[in-house]
Amino acid sequence: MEASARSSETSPKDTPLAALSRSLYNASRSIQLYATEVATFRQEYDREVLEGDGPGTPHLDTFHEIDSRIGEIRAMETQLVACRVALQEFRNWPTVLVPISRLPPECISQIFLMGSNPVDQEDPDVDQSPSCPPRKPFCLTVSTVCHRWRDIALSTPRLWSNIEFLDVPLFKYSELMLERSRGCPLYIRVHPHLFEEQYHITLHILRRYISDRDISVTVKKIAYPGDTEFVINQLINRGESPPRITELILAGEPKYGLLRSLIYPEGFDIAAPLGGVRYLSVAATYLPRCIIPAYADLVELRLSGIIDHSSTDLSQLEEILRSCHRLVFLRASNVGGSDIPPSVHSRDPVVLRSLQTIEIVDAYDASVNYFLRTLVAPALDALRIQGKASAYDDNLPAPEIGEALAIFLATSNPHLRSVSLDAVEIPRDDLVPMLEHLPHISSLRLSRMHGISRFLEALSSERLCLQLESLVVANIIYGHHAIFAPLRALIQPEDRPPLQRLIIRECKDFNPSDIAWLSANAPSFILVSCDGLFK
Amino acid sequence: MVNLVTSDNESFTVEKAVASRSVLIKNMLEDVGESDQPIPLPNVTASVLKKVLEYCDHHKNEPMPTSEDLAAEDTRKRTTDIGEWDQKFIQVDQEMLFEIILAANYLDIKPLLDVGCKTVANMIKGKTPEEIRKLFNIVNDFTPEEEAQIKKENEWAEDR
Repeated sequence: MEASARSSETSPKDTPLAALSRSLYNASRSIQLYATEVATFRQEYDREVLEGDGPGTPHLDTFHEIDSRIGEIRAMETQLVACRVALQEFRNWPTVLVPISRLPPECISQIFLMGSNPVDQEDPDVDQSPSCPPRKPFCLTVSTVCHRWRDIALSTPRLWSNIEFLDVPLFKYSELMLERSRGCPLYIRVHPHLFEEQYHITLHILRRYISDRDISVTVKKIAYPGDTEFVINQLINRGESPPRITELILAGEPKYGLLRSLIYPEGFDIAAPLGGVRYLSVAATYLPRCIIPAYADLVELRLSGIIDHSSTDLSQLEEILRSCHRLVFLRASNVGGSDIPPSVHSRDPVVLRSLQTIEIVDAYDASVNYFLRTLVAPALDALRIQGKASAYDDNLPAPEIGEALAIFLATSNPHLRSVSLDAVEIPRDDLVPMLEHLPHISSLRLSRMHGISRFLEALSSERLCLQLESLVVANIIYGHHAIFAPLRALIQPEDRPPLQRLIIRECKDFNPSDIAWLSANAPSFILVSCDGLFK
Repeated sequence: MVNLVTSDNESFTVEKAVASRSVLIKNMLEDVGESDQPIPLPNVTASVLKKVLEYCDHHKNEPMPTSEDLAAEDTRKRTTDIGEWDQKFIQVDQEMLFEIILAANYLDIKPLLDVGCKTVANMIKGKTPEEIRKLFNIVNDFTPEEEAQIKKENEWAEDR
């Protein structure tokens, strides 16, 4: 007992507790003294037996006395436990009164999940090399604040499901997280940069926890051909079904810059066919052809920074796309170089029957034209095309996509509802033929376009896109004065349904009187980030 | 128009489109049909409801979150990013912040609940347990034995 040592720290309010503590200390000392006396008595008894003086036996009352004391001590223990609970509640009382304690567990749990978001941890400014240890995981921090938060954290398996394997000392904590995540889907990030032995430890630990649940695997900093295949192979338990990888996120190591290609590295195969991958994201590395059977279940495919100018790569991409029978969402960002020759355009278009959304962004002229001339999407609902934004900002020519877009729209879903065009141009002669293919469009976003006034004039004067309800005009630097008249004609038209919603954002040079008119007359008019224009 | 009555007996008359951002109120309106009857909100005070309605009014034209949106939040798409307007809206004292979260939870306004939870999450991120306790006035109620156990559990991180 340390009652005397702690007495200097106690406040006057703690005096009764200190007295209680001292009496407990005294009781404990008495028991210890009694035990010493009994031990002495036992030694004397043993000596008497050995020396033949005959045994002396303890009086029967002594046993009654000890039994009685044991009963008292047990009763005291029960009372002490009750005292501890009461004191704990008393100590927690200020916590109950603080505002955050009024939040129910489900809200606290939600806060924890928000804070543990893996996307936020992908901070490019943070060195995540193995030599630089990671920050303390959010889940560990919140679970060490107080009892209530710890209980909530431990009752939220998803909080423990984002696991980044880095260096050896962290493995047992990754294992702790794997245990606490129980059966919920796992989000695992691994780096092939680890030393080979450490890497095997990582994958060995993972194999024990992934057989019966969905997992999302992120392989970051891929630098060598076969890295992806190696990771997936190591996750497969021989003789068992392959792991249920539902998401696969592959990111190349930008420092190496040697795998910006689709060319499949020969000699690396995956031991068992993967199935069930629904989400695949590939950035700055190769797209593993070896899991082509898995592409049959893909729902979402995101490609970024792959393929420079190889026609071989493009034919491989087409081969992969043809196997994506269930693809709903396709995003190609900075895919394809600036000089894809027209001869590469597939003679046999790639028909994606389930595809609902296409996003071709940060793309060169040749790349946009390639995709528009290659893909056919009979169920398409939304189309987004973005050229190189810097070209518009520097007043350089933007990709001309009019003819290719008209061809694409002619073969795709006539019920397309949403179109977003950003930093691209549609020549005057192509405008009307293109817009004629959009009879059901309800949402249109035009951004960074030199020819935006021509576009709006065509819309308002040709009685095209009569179902258009929502229009967004964004990031316009040049020619604001020419935009207002067709906008006005779309808001108060004579022979077509009026717009239901107009948003103008990031356009700083509109005439304030034009904005005032729009504000007064456009339904659901929203002006966003147009500083100095309108309050 | 819809008439809402708070726990402190104050009435608010708002557009149906604004009130219907709350799934609770929307369901009540659907259940009772066209009616002039005021809707009692016994768990929300006037000062909090005023704030909540400000949010609902600003977002009244936005599409309601679909089941797909909610499912997406269960996966990698979760983020603590908060829109510009929402950030300014939620710059309130802690007392009001937690009241807004409670009200959004009760009224079933998922986007507002998310804004509140993200704000608290952002307040927590990057802080030590002690800093978090200080921030929210939380008492460390672990026993010395539990503290020792937790410290052992996290010793690798404490050394960083």
